Amino acid sequence: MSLDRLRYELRLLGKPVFLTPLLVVSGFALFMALVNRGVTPYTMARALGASLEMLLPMAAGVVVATIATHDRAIELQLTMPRSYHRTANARFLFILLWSALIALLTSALLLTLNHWRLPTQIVHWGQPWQFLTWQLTWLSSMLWLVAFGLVLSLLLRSRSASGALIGVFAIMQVMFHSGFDEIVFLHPVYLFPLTFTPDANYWLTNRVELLGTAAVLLVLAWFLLRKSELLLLHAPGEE
Amino acid sequence: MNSWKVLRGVLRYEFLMQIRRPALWLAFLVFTLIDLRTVIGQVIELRNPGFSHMQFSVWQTAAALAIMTNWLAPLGIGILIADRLPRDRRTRAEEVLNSLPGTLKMRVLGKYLGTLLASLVPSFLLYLLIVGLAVWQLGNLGLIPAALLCYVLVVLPGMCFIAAFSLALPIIIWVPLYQFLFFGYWFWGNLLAPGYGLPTLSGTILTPIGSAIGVGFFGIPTFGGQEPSSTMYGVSSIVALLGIAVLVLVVLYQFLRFEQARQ
Repeated sequence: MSLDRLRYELRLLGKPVFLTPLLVVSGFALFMALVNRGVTPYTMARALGASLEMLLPMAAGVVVATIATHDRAIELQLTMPRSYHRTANARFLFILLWSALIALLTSALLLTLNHWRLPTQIVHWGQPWQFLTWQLTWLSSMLWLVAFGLVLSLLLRSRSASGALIGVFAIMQVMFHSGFDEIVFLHPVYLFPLTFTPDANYWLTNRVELLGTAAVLLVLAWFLLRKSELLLLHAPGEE
Repeated sequence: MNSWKVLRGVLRYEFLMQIRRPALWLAFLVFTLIDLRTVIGQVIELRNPGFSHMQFSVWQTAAALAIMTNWLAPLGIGILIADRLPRDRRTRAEEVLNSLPGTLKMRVLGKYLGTLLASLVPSFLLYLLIVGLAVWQLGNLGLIPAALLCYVLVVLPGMCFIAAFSLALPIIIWVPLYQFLFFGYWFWGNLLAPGYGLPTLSGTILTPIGSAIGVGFFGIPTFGGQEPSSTMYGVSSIVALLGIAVLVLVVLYQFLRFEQARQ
């Protein structure tokens, strides 16, 4: 992809896509600072870790579901020699990489400020392996939710329904986290173990399993993006 | 043109447009599956003799069912109303509507009522399904009228509240960001227990899930424990939720009028 093309795509995505991950992380940190009455370093570490494990991936998932596969000039694009799936992949990758950069910088800041919550499995690991492995906290959840968002938006062709289902799935995980912890076959889709069950002895396996299930979803999205008929489907009442 | 005719026309059109969205029915189909999975166990518990220590009356059972069903449905309603005004702008329908006779006030009110009523249909059907299951389990037909009144008292004020915000705020906030913030708000301001460590609106009169109304009128336990149980508490919650909804709609109308005058 040429630099001009990349610049054009970034302009199409617009400022809100850039600002959303920044707003999510900084807004939550500001909220914690404002309401810090009774908030201990432990709860602060837990909350900021949760913002990377839960909030940022959720926001990235909703943004991908809204942006990556919708284009008002899609009919025109499909007539061009360049395949549409390359455009969609570029948008998807940009949103993912930008959110990942924010998450990486924030986690480095948390480590420096010692607002650092570790899963028991890697407590005794040395640096830099501990820091690098900790990045799976947000990476696995984020990759899973953006892949889920991509597949939903391709199948449903509705930004609202895709966003609603991503949010409901995430809130279900929050509400019924003990069920996701206790039922072994749900571990490959248990997104937030550090926030709710940091002592889990399957944390690392869970992170790798999530990456695996995300890869399956991405393969499905890769297949769906090549179906021009599907891309041209328009759900009534949606954009 | 008569304002009421405009209101009726807009309401009818918005209602039909929203109720014919497959996304609305699809989202609520998923909610139904989740709700059935989560609520059914609690409905069966109502028949359990061990549960009788709570000694729920018919009214309390109906109110508890309304709140149990209401933890998910407002999310769908809020999200599916959020894109209505931005969509009008993107499809340039707003410019066409501005050139037609009829007041902006009635258009805003018609859009609000039409989209809200249409979105309430699947939510209400889901509630009826849960109530039907409870009636079947308890064998008490008296639960049906109590459940209908509880839906009006406990659920509708909160729905009016979130629908007003979901219609108005996406005018100034990017829709996906609003959706994300709405999820965060819903969990923080309704489902998070007040004793969890974070200050929250949950349990106050500004709890659209209906727990404050439930505890005020029927004395049922809420997320995070008991609160003061008095009818006035429930009344103040209804008044606050509906009052803020009206205020938000007035601000939305003034904002749109200001924008129209600027063009």
